Amino acid sequence: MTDTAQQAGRPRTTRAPRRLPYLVRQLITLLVTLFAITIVIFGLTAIAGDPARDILGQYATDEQVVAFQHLHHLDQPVVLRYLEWLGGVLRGDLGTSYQSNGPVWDVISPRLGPSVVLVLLSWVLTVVISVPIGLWSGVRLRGKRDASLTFVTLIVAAFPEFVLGLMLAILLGVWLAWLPVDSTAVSYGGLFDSPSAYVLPAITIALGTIPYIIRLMRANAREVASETYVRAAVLRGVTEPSLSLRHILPNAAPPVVTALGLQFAGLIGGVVVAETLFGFPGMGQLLAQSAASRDAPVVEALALMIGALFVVANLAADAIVVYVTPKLRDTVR
Amino acid sequence: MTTTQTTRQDGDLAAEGLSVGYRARTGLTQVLADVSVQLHSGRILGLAGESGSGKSTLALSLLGYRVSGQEILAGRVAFDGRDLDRASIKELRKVWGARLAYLPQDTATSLNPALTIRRHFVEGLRRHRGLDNAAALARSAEWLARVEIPEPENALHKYPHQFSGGQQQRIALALALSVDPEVLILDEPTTGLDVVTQAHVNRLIVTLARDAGIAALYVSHNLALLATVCDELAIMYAGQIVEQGVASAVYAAPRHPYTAALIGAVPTIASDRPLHGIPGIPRPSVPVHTCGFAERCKFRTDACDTDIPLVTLAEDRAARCVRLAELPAFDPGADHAPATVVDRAAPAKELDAILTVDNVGVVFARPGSGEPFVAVDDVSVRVPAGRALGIAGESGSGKSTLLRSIAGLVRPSSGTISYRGAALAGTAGERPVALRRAIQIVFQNPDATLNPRHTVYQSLERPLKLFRPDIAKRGRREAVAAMMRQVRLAPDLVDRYPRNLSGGQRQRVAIARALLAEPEVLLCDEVTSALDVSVQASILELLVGLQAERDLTVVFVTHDLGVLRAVADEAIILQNGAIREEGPTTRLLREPSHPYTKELIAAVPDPERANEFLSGGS
Repeated sequence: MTDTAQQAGRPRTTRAPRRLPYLVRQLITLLVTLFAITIVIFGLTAIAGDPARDILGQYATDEQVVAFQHLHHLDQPVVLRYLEWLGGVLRGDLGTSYQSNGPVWDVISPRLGPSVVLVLLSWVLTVVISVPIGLWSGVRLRGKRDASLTFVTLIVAAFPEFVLGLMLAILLGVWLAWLPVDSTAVSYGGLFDSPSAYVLPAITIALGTIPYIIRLMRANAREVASETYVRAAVLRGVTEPSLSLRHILPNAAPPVVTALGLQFAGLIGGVVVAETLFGFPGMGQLLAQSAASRDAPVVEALALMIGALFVVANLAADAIVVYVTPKLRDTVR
Repeated sequence: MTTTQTTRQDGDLAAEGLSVGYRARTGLTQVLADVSVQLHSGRILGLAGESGSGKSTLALSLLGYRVSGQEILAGRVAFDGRDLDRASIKELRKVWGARLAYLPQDTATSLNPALTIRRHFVEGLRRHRGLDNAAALARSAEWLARVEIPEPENALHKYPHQFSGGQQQRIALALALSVDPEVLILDEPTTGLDVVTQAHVNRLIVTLARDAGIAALYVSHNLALLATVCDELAIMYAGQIVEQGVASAVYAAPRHPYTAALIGAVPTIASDRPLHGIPGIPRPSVPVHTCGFAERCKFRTDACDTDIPLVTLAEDRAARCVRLAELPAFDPGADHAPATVVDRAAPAKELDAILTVDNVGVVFARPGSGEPFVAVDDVSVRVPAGRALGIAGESGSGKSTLLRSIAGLVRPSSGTISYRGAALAGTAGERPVALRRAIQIVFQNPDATLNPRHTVYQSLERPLKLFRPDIAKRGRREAVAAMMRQVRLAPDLVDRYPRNLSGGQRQRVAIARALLAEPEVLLCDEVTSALDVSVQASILELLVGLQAERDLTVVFVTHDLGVLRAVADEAIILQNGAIREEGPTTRLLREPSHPYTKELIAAVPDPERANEFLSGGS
């Protein structure tokens, strides 16, 4: 036996500096990451070049171009423009849209609610579908049936979201006519006035991550199920569902939680595709439209929001992993 | 042995002519053949054998537990009038945990890391004994107190990792016994624990099991331990019981050559019994028309190539050997082969010290605030050239840290370590190549120190490339082959990967790798504690032999005093980082003067002092 295992109750440490509390460290990580994101975002839009000519059209006069550049401070050095933008962001001013000439916030805000609902819906769908299936297949399924499930998940994973979305639209929207193929209804009335408009985009987005989470959950559950402490539990007479839910799931879940945090990026990618596909009036559609029309301030603001969401989701996943793993809870302080 | 206090006839569990095999794509491998054992209330049956002998399969089969691919080929497992081997999963779940309890091998994983101790207990007590929450909690606390867990009420709310390995195994024992089972199956329950902790857990197992009138099966590869704690013994080899009888009688006068060999492989401290490995590796499956042990047996004749029955010698004694009539009972104490035990004439003090450790301390900062942790506390020791120094102590005594600081893997916080009179730099990276070559280390677990993607040759070639540029590329293969012969590795293993080697072979590769650097000093960190007894004995034989042949200086860290006696001329006993006692090993073990040394010695299982051991040593 190694000394380390023996000393579980006794601290055995290497040199460790005095550390800030876990939550404070996480918060600092969040701020530093967000700052780095602003640089990357602004840098990328700056590299994309001067949008004046694209926006004003090929018949605009040089005077009009100069006026546009002056209006949007495009004639100033990049660094200065970045600092100005960053200062605005910190004050809550996201800038002025090139297209609408109004505040960026006014362009984004009506689309925020629907998109958040859509993302949460697809995320919940992912969890509710993949965790039970993955757990069940990891613990119980063997042989041919297990192989078939793996095969199905692989097939689904192999299709890009726009193909899946189209197939769903044809099946559920056209043939069966259960659901609207077009989600523009969301932009009229209240947030929850047309619930059916959310369904197809949400399923499409969720299908992008579900196969991956199922496979991860299955692999982890299978590994934990072969641990001696699970065998010991079986030999103490523990039966299902207690065995899977209490003895296996808590030990198999942490990597899946981390993955669910990381999959947020995949989810957001899916949002852009699905919103465009179904005409869903959300941030993803706006992002695609604004990028096409070279509306840099809107793209920057959206990218920043999505980046922030991604970082927060990951940090939250980390925190949850620490919280649900007793061993980590004691070491991470 | 002590007398039985309670007798409950209903608790008897028996395997009758049990044969078990595993079905795989390649066909059927039989792992148990015609095994009959019977457990009796209030008594402990010891089941001994090397890895792969089928003892764990038997333990699980007795519970009616089936691993996938496992098939019962013949025989039955009878418990309380029913056949467990044929029982439905529903029936089994009624007896598992309630009437049949199981204590698994791995101390670190017998409890679920995600659940509190309370949850482990309450689950079973509610299900099997119908207790309500409050009653279940009270009963759990009571049992935790019985296995000597401090502050039982408080302990219930903790998680397994918040306890030491020994405490975890005691909790698992309490968990198994709390539902008041009739049968307890123990699968190597103390392997991996320290001697002192091991003794503590074993005392509890024996006392509690006997008090409750439980019929127990104790599986272990350590025959000395089994002979100390069990009433009866069954020795298993290649899926067959080769000898069976009253524990003390089997240990004192074995009738089967394998039993004798197994006893000879256990390092002991009490007698001057020499230590011998068993050559060869255990047979992985049941023998057909031959004796399973024949290929490793000294007493083999042509008559051995037949199906050999288990012959009843007396009312409670049986053995499976064709030559029982000709061969007298073995006397494990009197073996004529050269002994591994070292006892050299020249007093160590007159020899030059090759390594000197002067007032070395190693202090680790604890995370966050709090007192720093003193791992090694002001240790001074001199290691004479060409001798073997043993460092013994429990886990956390600082013995490994001390060794690592000599190796330059841990920088000492204070003091100096000198090699041939010159102070060594704190870490290996700061030491010149010549010194790094001169001091080599071998670790406990070869699985973790051999690169799984390197063949034996690639692993062994590295020290040559690093330290011996004088050997041309062409000469390396020769040097490697020569070294493999020295550590008794078959030459055809040279292109294998570690996963295709046995544990003993892997450790030999690790030793060969260290020796290819041509070191002056070889540091060994618990190099045999992950190995089977018979393999351990042959590795120890090898080390002692090599040390004499090459005039090597060895520093050997171990928690096993029997191993210490087998390899070390001189020894130091460490506790909490400080030296408690030092001196020639034989004297230290025969006439210990420090109470801590005495405690360590009392914790070593010794069948000749079984009652002393079980009552708590002193």
